[in-house]
Amino acid sequence: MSEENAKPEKAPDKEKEVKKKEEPQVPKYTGYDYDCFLAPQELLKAVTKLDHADFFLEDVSCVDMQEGFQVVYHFDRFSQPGRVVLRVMISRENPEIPSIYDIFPGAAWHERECFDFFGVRFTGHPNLIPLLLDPEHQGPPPLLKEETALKDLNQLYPDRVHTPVSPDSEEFVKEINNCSNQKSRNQS
Amino acid sequence: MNLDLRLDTSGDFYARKFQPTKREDTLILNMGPQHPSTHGVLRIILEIDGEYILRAEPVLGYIHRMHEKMAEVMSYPQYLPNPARTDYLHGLAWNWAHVAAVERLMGLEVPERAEYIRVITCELNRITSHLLWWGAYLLDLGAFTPIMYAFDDRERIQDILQRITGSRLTYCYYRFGGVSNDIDDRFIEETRKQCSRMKPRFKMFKDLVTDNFILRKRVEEIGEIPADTCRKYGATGPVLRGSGVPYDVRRAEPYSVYDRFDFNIPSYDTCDAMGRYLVRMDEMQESIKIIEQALDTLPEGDYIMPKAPKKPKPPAGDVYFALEGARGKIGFHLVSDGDKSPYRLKLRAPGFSNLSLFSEVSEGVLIADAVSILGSLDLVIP
Repeated sequence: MSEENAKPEKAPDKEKEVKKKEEPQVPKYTGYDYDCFLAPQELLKAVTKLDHADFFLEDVSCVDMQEGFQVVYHFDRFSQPGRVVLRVMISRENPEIPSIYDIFPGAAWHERECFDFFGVRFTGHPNLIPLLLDPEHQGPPPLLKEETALKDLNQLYPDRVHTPVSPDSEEFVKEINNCSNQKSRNQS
Repeated sequence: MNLDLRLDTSGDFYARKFQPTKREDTLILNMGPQHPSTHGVLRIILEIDGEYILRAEPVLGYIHRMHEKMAEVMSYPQYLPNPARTDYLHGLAWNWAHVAAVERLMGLEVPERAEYIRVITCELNRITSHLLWWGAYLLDLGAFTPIMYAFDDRERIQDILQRITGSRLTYCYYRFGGVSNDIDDRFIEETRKQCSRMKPRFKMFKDLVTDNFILRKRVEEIGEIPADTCRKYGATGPVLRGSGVPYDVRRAEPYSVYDRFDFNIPSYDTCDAMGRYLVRMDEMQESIKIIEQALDTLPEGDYIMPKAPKKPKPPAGDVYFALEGARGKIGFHLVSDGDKSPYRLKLRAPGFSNLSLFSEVSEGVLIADAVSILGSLDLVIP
């Protein structure tokens, strides 16, 4: 009985929530001029292309979500400013991703930071030891979320396309060459 | 009695993990974490041959406070005082980056007057930051007097800021949609007075210090960082501009009302510590130019959006907001799931990237020059 009573009460609430979300609250400019998903094995290829296109590494970040870890690489350019973000999904069970140290030596510390906070292992990193945390730190990495708190891709990035792009594709090459924050601001 | 009085020479975790060169006649030396020239608690493991550095590796994290985790367990307004603690010398820039990232995600419009107030106070804070760097850097190099001159001006600016913001160092002044307190005529008058007071002082600083023969010996052709090394390591701010790349987020990715002001981006292509020194000295004068223009054109209106949310709940999604701090590019990557606290907040500290190139730059230099290089990077460690 109680379940039956509860159900009709919950339903209108959900409708309200959906309506709220539909309101255009999307930011005009997100700070990203080119945003793409990549498969882990294609990361190095994409980063090499960014290196040739004169980008510099801003930071390497990581987001813990239901599908696994999303490792986020931010790049920007001095000569023609525009931010490129590469997103790579890796599994929670076996969090391994190739290190980009050989292309951008500045990534070494950012990767060590991710290793500290999430336990992501960067293969090929020359010195993957704790950077900011106590080396004798016991227990799980601090930024891991509890399973009940995890959200999935659609909850976090509702309007994004999550299909991986190939760094060999013409689209990728064209986008990174033309990437500019002036352009994307004018469009919005 | 079985007392082993020999010292344990194997060292701690980082000393054991340190990979020295294959030579046998070298010495491993710890510089810091309490060495005065390492500003804060930075430790550098050095492998030295006489006075020359063969390898250097910074060890950091002694007072890491995990601000990123704090963000996840606090609501947005609760986190407001935190960012300024990450860089205690340019707190307002961090405060700004936080509120602006949330504003960008929510699509909040900030009143024009508030944007102007933000520009004025942030630039004042940049001057205090550079002044402290100037005094402390020269202190590292053995000159005691300049820091007294630097603090003279710095204290005056802090007095001005204290009346408006309520604090002198770790500011929490900006709010979502504006600032917490309007500026008044006294603030404007005092700021103008301070600006005109400082202008001739830069000439005096130049005569007293910059042209000094001993200083030039300590900074010229020391710590050369080619522009491409900056790119590979992601170094920004005065370090990059001292290497000849006129890249400034205020111009490259204009935020707030910076596109309305006329200012130069000083850059020097000498790539050495002198280049970085001169960039900061010029930048203070550019900041004064910006402040004066902002005061001249200060619009009337609200200092905070009338319906600004006290407890914001940004929609799901992520944004990146970057701005130019005194040390370089500050970046906030904010991921929200629509709740009252961030799902993930990543802070990009400019000093982190700037310091990571130190081990490459310091190879083969004298220890005394390494101190000069460290100072010229203008580090804030936590």
